[in-house]
Amino acid sequence: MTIQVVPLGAGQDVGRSCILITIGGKNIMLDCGMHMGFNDERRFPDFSYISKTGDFTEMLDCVIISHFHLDHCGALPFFTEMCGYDGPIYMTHPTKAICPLLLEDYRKISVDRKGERNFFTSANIKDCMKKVIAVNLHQSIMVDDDLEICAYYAGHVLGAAMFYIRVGEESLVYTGDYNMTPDRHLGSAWIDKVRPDVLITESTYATTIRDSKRSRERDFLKKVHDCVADGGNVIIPVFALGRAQELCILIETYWERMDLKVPIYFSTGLTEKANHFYRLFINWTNEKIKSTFVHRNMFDFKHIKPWERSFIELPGPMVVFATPGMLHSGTSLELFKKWAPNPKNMIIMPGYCVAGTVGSKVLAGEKKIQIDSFTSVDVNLQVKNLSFSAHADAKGIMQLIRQCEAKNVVLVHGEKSSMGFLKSRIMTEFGIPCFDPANGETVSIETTHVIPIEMSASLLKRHLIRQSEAQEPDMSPPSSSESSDDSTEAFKKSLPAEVRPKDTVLIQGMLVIDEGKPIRFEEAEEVLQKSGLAKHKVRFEVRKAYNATALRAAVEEADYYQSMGPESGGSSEWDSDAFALDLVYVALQSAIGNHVALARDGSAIAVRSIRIRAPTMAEEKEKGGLLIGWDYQDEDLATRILSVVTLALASTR
Amino acid sequence: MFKLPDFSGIDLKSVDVVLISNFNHMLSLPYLTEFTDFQGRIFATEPTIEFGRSGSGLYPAYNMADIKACIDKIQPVRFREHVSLYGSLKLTAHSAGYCLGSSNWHIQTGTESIAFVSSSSIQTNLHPDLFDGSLLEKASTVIAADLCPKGATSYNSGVNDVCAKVAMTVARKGHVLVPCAISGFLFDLMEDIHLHLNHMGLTHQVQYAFISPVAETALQYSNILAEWMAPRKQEMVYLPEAPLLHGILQEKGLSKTYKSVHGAFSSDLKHPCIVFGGHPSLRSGPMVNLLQMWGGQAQNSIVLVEPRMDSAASLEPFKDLEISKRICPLDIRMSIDQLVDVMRKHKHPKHVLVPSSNTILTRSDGTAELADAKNTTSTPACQWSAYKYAEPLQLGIGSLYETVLLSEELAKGIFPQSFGTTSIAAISGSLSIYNNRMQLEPASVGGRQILALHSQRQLCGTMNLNTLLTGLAMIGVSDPVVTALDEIKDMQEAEIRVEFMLEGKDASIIMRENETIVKCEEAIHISSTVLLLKTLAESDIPPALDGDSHRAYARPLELDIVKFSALVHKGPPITLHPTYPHTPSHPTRFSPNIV
Ligand SMILES: [Zn+2]
Repeated sequence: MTIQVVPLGAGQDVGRSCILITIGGKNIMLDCGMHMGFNDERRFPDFSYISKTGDFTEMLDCVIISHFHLDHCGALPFFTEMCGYDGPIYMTHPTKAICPLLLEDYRKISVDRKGERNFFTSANIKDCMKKVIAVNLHQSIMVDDDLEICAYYAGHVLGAAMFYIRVGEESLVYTGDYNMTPDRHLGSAWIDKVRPDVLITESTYATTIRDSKRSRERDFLKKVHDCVADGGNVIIPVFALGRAQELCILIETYWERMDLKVPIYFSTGLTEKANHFYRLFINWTNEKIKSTFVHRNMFDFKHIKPWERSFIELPGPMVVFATPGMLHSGTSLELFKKWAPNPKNMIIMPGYCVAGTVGSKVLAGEKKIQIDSFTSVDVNLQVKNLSFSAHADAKGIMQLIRQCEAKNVVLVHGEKSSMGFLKSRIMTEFGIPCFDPANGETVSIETTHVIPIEMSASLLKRHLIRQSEAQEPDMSPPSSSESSDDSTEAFKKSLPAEVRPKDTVLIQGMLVIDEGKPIRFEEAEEVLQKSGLAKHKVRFEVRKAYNATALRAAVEEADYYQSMGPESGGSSEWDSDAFALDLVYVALQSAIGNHVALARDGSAIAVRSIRIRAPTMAEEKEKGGLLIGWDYQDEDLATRILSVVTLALASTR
Repeated sequence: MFKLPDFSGIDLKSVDVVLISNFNHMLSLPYLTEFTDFQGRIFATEPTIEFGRSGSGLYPAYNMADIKACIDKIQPVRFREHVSLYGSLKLTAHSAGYCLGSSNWHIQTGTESIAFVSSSSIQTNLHPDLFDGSLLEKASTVIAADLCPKGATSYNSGVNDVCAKVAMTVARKGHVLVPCAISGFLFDLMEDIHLHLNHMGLTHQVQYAFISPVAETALQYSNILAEWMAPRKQEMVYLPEAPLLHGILQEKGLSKTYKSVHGAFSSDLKHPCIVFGGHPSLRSGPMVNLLQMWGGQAQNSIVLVEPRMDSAASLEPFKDLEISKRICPLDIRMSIDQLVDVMRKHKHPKHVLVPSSNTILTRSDGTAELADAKNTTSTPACQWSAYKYAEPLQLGIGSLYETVLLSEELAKGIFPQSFGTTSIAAISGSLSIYNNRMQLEPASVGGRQILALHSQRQLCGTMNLNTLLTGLAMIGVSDPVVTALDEIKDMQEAEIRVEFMLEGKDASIIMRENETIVKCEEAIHISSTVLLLKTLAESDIPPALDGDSHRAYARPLELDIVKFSALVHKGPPITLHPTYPHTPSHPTRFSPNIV
């Protein structure tokens, strides 16, 4: 079967995320975002790609929204209320709660401020949200009889989720935006080892590494501190929900640590509502905030006080978090107008601004900004642009690929240049295909087949019991023992070894294929008994040739350097086979000695049924080399030993 | 008041899994985890764990460290989250509708499944997420526990009585005591009382108090669990409002929490007060203090709502007090009649086990007659039987087979042997368990090489000389030398020796009845192995009862391509895949690429 992926937006680009996938005959839209950088038709994804006749409900099985950022959900009311999509829409509870606020805010800027027509209305947003089915994390949801979806925590912003999608034996994971390191108010993304055929991951920070985030934060705090120390005012335009909370905690902790007295304010508006959301959805924040919320709400700040309008006349210095984030109206605009002319002041733009807003003009570096037909402002204050959005860096993306054991990776939501770098890294490190399609470009991925068989429960049980009795510390694959800081892994590690589930067990038995019946996997002895078949023993005897002369030369050379004297080498009769056996024995000890028992006597090495010996009979001696024999039952071990022997004897050259 | 279940007769070390249905049902858990040799795993929903943690006052027998150690061993799950254990056991919690996080469990092994239905409520006007009956659909066995006893008052019929009593008391400026735990249907009761008082115009002169060491935590925590509530309550967070009314009253200062009656409680008292908390047994705690304070005045009331207590006995020591007493137990649990109704909706044949207290008699065939209104008996679609305390029951279930996915990679290396219509192939691989699935893959790749060291392969059948010779011819080996040694003449085991050159190197294969010896240069060992496996696979194995099987290798050549081999090696594996939907669910695909 084939899984197809087509980005309608976010293909080699950041903004208007919208990815179509076809999996097991189902068509799914992942995110339905808008592009903040445009105010023409490029703002929304090109839905005509899905259908020219507008029968979107028939074409799509469902729409999944990863989180409340507008570049992931901004086109949703347009798609449902104006394009007519009427099928199921899934998102998490916090996303469903917060998303309409952002949509309304965006609508206000577009319609009320910029006078756009033919835009979705408040009623459209409400109607759209009514169609949304809210989901819980880890809950398995059957969209229909064949299509299963399941959400996982993504960090990034409150309620952000990654989605696992499965149809039959084919599966896909879409990450949306995510963060693999916990920050001050959210936890880190985590997913089960779901082994998706395809992982579609964002790659915003594909070339950034974590340390630079810390230094960016230090940099930010230093700039704010320097400005207020110099008597300047700092204005930080924010949207009331999202990264604002992270910035507040950041500043609050810094103020506390540095014992600063300069006042910090947060302009009201949505703040009360925002705090309410954070309180109701405290389960979606990080462990620390969750565990202390009854006694101390992290969002009840000590240094940050509510803003009152009259404060604008105070001499300063002060720091003000002001809404809205794009300076298009309200407190942030008012403060900007007042403070812009003074070069001592500073404005910190933490995010992106819709084209045409005052915020976008500030970001563009305009020195004189026309606010409306009556007012223009001289912009002399210092402008800093600091992106604090919480995305996974290259290391985090690699970590997620490892965590879920993806078989193919598709990169979206990033710059083309940095994607290329990450792409080659993924392909070399994991040896799996990686794609970075442009918008409208289809990626087709062939999935590997699996054959469902029925395994005898007693066979399975016997192997599981034997495995747990064996208590082999090295049985699990190395990837799972690699350190990871997520809580579930930590939880699993905290369990005593005998309770911990084994990821992988060795299993052996007999397949029985009867025409027209399911293939069964049974206990070998049972099958043989039932069918009256005899076991067939196969013994291999192979000759492993090696270059005795080269071996001797190498040994003499080594001896010479070791003893620094010529007399130690060559005096007694040289037995190259004995020496080769010694070499092989040492190599085997280091390669597999920890896992299987090796025995050594004068002229042979024995491991289970495997015997490595020097030739004894005249005809054998004539041919030379070592003789290696084993029963077929130990074929896997023998194969490994042969490769070790080859390496050991070759290295003497 | 606190009694451990009788664990005698159970080898706790052999218990693999403990499933918790709600926080009222885990009082013995610290004993189990900290004081016995139990080593299994424990699962509960997140709210169950959190209420269990904060309700530490409920565990008088343990110290804090024991409780913490115990709670930390519980693995949290959410409703409808699939948990897979040991590859073959699948566990899923489904909402029970009884209290926040209360769950019923679906336990599946292979094709068989059990539904464990504990304290459940099918009432739809309460705050917990609604009863999720979907677990009953697939279950072949249903075990029901904690059903509402016969003759109990349902919440809906009793709540008006409670509200009326409270309103009457408040109207005459009296205080009301409602002894109960700060959890469960109390949240609904409080809401109903407030709405009733509001309706009667009495809310302006009333205040609410929750008295318990855990009241603050329980009330605050319950209000962040919107995702575990009924849809009606979930909607509240979109406003955003606290989903449970006490959150809103708390914010407005109409309701307060206290650790005990000492301290601020008395000074805060301005209006008739409705007090929730304490313990319904009325033997210790704040309710005893309050009965001492207010019990003498006839305008005050005490209302006992807890259905699991002998309320008359609780009130006995206070029978001489003037305070007005009302016993009005509210039971939200599912009754046996409701269970019969629920089961009737499911067509799938089932065996339902109920506590013997819910049955009238057990017949000689083991089926039971129920103590419901209609004295229901077993039907072909639904067999009822009873279970008793400490009487072990053997359920006749347990699947013989589990579905495992065989990877394409492993299938490629299989050389099946056929006899009659059946083919067999010995395989050895690593079984990975991930995301509720089991997949069988080659043991020798990836991080699994160490597993391969322990692998023990097997072969069966007999070698056929002609098949071997044909196989040799097919790989371009000409003029093999065949020597036959006879048992009697040569005074040794009969064998056939085939000597030949492969890839320019000497090799020989010695065939005996149940043994083959391959001698060759190491460099050609892989090629010889493949040759050998193919020969074994393609040698026609005589049916089991065929007499002369020990001379099979001497039979004339009959090379037929094994059917299974064709399937695995050449044919499309998809034909082995019966469940996959082939027809796309949509008439057309996406339109071609745009540039
Ligand atoms: Zn985002």
